[in-house]
Amino acid sequence: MTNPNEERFDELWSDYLEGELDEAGIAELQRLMADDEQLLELATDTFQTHRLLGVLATRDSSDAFVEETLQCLPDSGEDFSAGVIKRLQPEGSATSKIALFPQILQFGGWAVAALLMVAFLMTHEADEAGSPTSRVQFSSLAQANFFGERTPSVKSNPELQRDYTLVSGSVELAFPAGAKTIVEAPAVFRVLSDDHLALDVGRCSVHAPDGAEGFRVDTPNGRVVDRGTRFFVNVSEASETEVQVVEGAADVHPGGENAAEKLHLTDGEARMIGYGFTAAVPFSPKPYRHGLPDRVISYQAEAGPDGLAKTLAGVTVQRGGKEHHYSAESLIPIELTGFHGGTTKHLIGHLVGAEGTRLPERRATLLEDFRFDTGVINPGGSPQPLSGPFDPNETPGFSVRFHQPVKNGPGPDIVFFEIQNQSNPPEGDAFHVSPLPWEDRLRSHTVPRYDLMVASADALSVSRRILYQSEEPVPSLANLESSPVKPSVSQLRFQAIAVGIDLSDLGYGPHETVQTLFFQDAMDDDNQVDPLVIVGLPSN
Amino acid sequence: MKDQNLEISIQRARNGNPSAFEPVVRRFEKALRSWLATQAPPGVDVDDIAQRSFIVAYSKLEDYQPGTDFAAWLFTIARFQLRTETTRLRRVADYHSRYAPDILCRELERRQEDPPEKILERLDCLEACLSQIEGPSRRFLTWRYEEEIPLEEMATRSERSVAAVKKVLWKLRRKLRDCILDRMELANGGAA
Repeated sequence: MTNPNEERFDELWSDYLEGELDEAGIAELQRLMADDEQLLELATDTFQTHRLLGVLATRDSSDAFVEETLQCLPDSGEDFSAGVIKRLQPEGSATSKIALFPQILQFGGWAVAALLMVAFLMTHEADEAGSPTSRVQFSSLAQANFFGERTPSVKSNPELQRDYTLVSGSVELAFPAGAKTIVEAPAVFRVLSDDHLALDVGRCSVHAPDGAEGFRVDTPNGRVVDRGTRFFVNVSEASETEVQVVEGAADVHPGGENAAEKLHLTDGEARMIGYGFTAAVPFSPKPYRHGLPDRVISYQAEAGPDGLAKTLAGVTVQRGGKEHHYSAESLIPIELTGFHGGTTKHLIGHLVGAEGTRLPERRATLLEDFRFDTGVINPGGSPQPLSGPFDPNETPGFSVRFHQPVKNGPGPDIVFFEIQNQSNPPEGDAFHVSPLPWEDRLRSHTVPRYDLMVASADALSVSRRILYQSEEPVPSLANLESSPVKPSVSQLRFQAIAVGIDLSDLGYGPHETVQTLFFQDAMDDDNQVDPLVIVGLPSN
Repeated sequence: MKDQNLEISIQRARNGNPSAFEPVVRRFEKALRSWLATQAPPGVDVDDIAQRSFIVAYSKLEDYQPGTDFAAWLFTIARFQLRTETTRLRRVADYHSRYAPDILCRELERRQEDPPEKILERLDCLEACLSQIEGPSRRFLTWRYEEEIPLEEMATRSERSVAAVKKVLWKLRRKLRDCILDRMELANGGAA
């Protein structure tokens, strides 16, 4: 043997191909191949031969491969990743992650399914290994839902190197040096270090102020390095990366920072990076997000003896881009002025009372108080929102009067809480809200999803409660107050979820005041809306 | 499939008929899977990348210019998918120290520029070379690649040590590699 290293190489390489080489062996192999081109060539040739032997051994699998591939083709016209991720959203949060994968594959999103499966497996491995958390924070979350896990709390720290799969909504990440990124669903991302984010698919707006220069975003085919700027990165399902520099400058490295090519972009410039090419694309600052939408950020509650949320203590809301906290004392309560639960008896009933107490003399107070273990539920509704004058006494739904007029300010003006459990729609029960009295210049507004959903860590579990089943239909407030009821204790665990309502969405002008409103379930499924607390926000 | 038929299938698939894409997948699956098998570093699921490539190609048929080289277009997509996956693996902190020597991955990446036809040629040569290996040696290859039997079981069956089995397999791989190179050199008039 002419090459003294060859015998050792044979041994190591043979072990490697059999999957039996440890880290030290791989390091030694690396050194041997780095020192001898012939060994490297031999290794590569035999590796390819080894792989082709595998191909020949599985040549009978062609039919299965073709069949499986065809089943995975997306429906024509469907946005590929968005479609698949949309279908990923569990019908109920109790659905397991693994159980969802056959659904994904059945619906034909192999590429995204594979990406998500990799993300899940890596997440799972990371969980088991106890991945280190970063100093980066989830500084804000808006209607965010992650695949197969609870939505993290505001100010919690993401784990390093762990894939996060955002299926809906958006999240803001704050990095220690001051950089902020807003990632919008559908997206798969991970935090690599205190100044480094990886985005496999999805959209991301970056603001790196003075002191945060050098912040990096890795995409599947390149790296964007901040040079004091605002920029936007969009990675498509085909892994093409679009970079839009909105302000300042950024360096774009197709193929990574070690690759030879580097593009220096300044504000107003945009590029597309694909495999083996970069191309100029039209500049468009529109997709850049300066902040998350106005919404209910969190709420606080006083706990009952069971340690669960019992009474609303305060609410934190983003209005006009600014965070505001309101204590319970400053919130504007309501009076329930009308109720129409439909003309047939509802199986579950309409009243929720606190455990250990009797029904109050005036049942409407179950909704008027600030308690999370009482409410007036299943109000009836209509698939179509109201679009003209209506009689609130003859229309399924319920009407409320605020104790003081609520002024239409920026962002949410009213906060609506409902009770929900793990088997109910995780995004909340959709409802319509309409002006009362109706005016032609105004309109109804439909709320399809809540700001704080069941998966959110900020949606608190509520104290045990009693359901009062009505023994007859409840088509009026008078019936609600007087109809015979049968109590039953609910054993299920429930959470209070919340959403903000902006009066501008009903057509009210800035600073206009509103004192009465009408609510209806959207009748989009078998679950009706279950209101617990409704409050108006004071003017700032 | 003649190119005219291929173009017709592509056009029909473009018009929203997924079943029209079947002959396209059949036409290229062997070449694509073989090419990926030889270019992908350890840890990459070759069939997954092949499938992703077909799916992306189908989703982007609007971008394909009829009458141009579909195979080249498809393999460009596959290269891109493979590059994406290898980049992802590279960012797994301990990938190279635990799973694949960096220098091997780089050499494989360099070879990605080889024309796909070369891999099919290599596959044909391998089949011819395999036919020359018979008797006791051949059964080791059958056990290893077709039946996927563990080394210990192979050792028991052949009444040899595990180390001896590994040595036999290594010698067979080298022999096949040399045979392939000789055949390719011959076929190409002296330049493999």
